[in-house]
Amino acid sequence: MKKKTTIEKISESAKASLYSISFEMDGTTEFEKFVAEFEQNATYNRDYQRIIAALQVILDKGALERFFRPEGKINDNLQAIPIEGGKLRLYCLRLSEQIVILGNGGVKTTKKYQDDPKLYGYVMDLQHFDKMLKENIEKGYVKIEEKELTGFDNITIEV
Amino acid sequence: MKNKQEWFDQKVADVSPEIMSEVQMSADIVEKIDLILKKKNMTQRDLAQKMGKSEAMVSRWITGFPNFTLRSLTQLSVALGEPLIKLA
Repeated sequence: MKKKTTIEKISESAKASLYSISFEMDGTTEFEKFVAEFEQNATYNRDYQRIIAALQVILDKGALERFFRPEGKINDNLQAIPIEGGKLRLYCLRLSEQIVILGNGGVKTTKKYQDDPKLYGYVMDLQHFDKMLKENIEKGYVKIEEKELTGFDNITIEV
Repeated sequence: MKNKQEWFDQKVADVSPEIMSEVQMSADIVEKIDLILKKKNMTQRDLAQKMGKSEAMVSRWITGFPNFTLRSLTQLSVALGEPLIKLA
């Protein structure tokens, strides 16, 4: 079943904006779900805190390429926040040095995320959203203006 | 927007000072490595060859938020020909 999506801004600084995807039926963003799942998790709390700290660094310095690890296909924007030594992953779309769209994530227990149905689902949602977003940017419905993504009020993206 | 911003600011404030400092320091060191590589016109491959390491290993030190050890910092400093951390 296709899910209607929108995006919400989570935080912004002088250098970058962090957005997150929200499914219409949920009313909460994917990043908020990630936080809710892991902020009180004793096993992965250190990894979780390192990811939140990394997001603050991204806000302070900009969404530089070196802060991310490509996780998807050559021509998509899918990335993960690489926390060395940890198994917790947060997936996102890096659109530019100023805009990142955060998705959900989880504990990677398999060698490839494709082997974990939950992580694979999060990645697929982001990849579909990325594809639809690109189409809407090409058509001029969605615009990237420095740190801002505009035009979402007038379109419906389903993934 | 303000609610989400306040919510996120609180999540950042909840991060322990030790972890925040560790991640910021890691990012600063990676930035310094990047600057030295550019200044010396060196590639990731050049650095890997100089260190006798694989490119994959070196890539872990120049992307993301690596957990450097004293040994890795020393190896990198020697290969780059400049100290990555200066002690007063």
